Amino acid sequence: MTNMTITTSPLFQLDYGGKIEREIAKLIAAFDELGFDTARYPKRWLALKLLEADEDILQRVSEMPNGDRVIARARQGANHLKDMLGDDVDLLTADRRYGYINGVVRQSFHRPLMDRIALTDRIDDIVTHKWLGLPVFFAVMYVVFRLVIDVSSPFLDWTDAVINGPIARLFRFILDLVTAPAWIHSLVIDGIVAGVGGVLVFVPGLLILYFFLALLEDSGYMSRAAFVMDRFMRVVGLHGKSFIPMILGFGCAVPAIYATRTIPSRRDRVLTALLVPLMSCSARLPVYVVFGLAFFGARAGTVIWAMYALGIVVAMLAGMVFTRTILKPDVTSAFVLELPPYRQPALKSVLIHMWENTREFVRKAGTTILLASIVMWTLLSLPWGVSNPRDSYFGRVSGALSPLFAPLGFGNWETGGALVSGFMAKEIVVSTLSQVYVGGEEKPIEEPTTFGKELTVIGRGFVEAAVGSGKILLSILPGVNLVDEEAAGEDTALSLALREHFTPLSAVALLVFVLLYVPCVATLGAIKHEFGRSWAATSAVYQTVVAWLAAFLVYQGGRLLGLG
Amino acid sequence: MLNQIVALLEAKENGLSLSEISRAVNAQPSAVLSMIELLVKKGKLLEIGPDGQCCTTCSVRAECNLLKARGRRYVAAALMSKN
Repeated sequence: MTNMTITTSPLFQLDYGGKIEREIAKLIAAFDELGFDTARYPKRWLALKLLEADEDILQRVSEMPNGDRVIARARQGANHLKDMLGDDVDLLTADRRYGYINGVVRQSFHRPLMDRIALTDRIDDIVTHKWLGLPVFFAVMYVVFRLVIDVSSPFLDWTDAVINGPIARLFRFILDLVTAPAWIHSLVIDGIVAGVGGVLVFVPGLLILYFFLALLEDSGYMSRAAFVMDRFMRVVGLHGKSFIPMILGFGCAVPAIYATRTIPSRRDRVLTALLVPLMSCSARLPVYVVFGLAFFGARAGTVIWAMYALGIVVAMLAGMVFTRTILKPDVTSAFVLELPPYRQPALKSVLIHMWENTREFVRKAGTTILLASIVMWTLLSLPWGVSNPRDSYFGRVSGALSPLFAPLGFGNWETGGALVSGFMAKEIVVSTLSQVYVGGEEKPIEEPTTFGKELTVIGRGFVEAAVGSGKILLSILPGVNLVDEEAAGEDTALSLALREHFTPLSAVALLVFVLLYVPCVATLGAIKHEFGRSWAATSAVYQTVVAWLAAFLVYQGGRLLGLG
Repeated sequence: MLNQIVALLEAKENGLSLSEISRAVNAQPSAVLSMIELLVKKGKLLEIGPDGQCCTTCSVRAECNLLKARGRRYVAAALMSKN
């Protein structure tokens, strides 16, 4: 290596501009002046490398006679250029080279217009457009939610029928077999099956939701959505990087709070953590689906989409308020997103994504929701032997709280209690309502059945649900209508019970309240862990106040308009 | 061209995509990407994407599907230091 010599063609020499060229010339002159042996390297190339402070060349020159003096001259020249031009020489020379190469490419290589603006670019022109990007994002999410609700509804009915039919019967059979006491019967059937089952009913919906979200992610659209929302958030005073935690908040707020660590400024981290719980996490989806299907039928998808959109809008408004009050903004920083090209999603990747997310929900149902269901059943059964849940400790406490919710349209003790229990985890709102309204119901006397018959019923129900979903999916095509409106949307026991206690208007007010009220205990724990007790308290208080006011506006405003 | 990219990023508060930058400087995205890599190496831009420093300290980085999907992101170092 040390004996290697480098030569360059005299035919071409890149002009680095007057100032750099002068320093190159001065350094070449210094080689002779200082008696530096330049036989091994071309003088111009060596001078340039020394001015650029190329580490390898500096090392080699320093080992040569008079090398240190040459390096000192080169540093002088480089510093002089930096003072004049404001940048390191290697950056200035690279800039010249890129400029030259780009010019050569432009002059010698003419691409057809269609090639230059690739398909990805043309799609990006629309989906990341300054004004069109946001409506496109909301439209895409609307289509996704419509598909999720419409396509999953036959499977939701099927799961509900399986849990409250064959599975409940199986548990009763086992309990009868071991001659379990009545209270164990009640705990298992009215507590665990009604509570956990009430939440597990939504597994098909989540599978389909995560399927579509995985499709969007794998296709490359989610990156565009991030880009669009990023821009939008800057407009309302939020840091662009806040979008990552906020998107994660659609899954679960806890990892989203921890993801705020990616934001450099503490002020931005705190602000983002205060807004993340306003994103509709997957735990709220069961509440939306139950009320959406019970009161709005085919329009449930629109209602659910509206809840997601409302969460984003309220987060933006809250961000603007915080930015102008207790959390004054820092200087915002610009950034560039490297948008990956659009690609065909891989089925395996989509299915893995779908399963991993749904598995977490099922795991939670088997732990947190199970525990909460047992606690709720116990509270509904104390003092021991109480016949009416209203007279239980839970009923009495919920009854005392219910006047607070009366102006919002849901002042009954059952809802008050369900909302309080939702502080543990939002899905528990559904499991509590299921326990209160369905768990204690007198079950019709069932005819004896066999294991084989049960399996046949489950299998037939699944096939019917698959056919129903397929028809709904095909009916999306223009001019195709395969859905039997009368047969569509069978009511679950919980839907029927809810319609006795709510109007469509009070149901919407409840959904708004559930969307916005105090984050679950795990989220508050994450906020406390990251930012301290006072910010966790701020989050709990401001969200509950905002939720109450928003639900009040919806319910009372709706009544004034004659909607309920 | 390098200074042009840095200046573009410093001036555009709403961020820029790689495609937008390549159009602004009239160069191929692949060429712009290598320029960005040099600017990162020289400390003019900071990488804050999936492989960037900010993410390496995040406890939920491994679970963040969004980061996997969204690609690399860069911030102008001069603006970053003001924060």
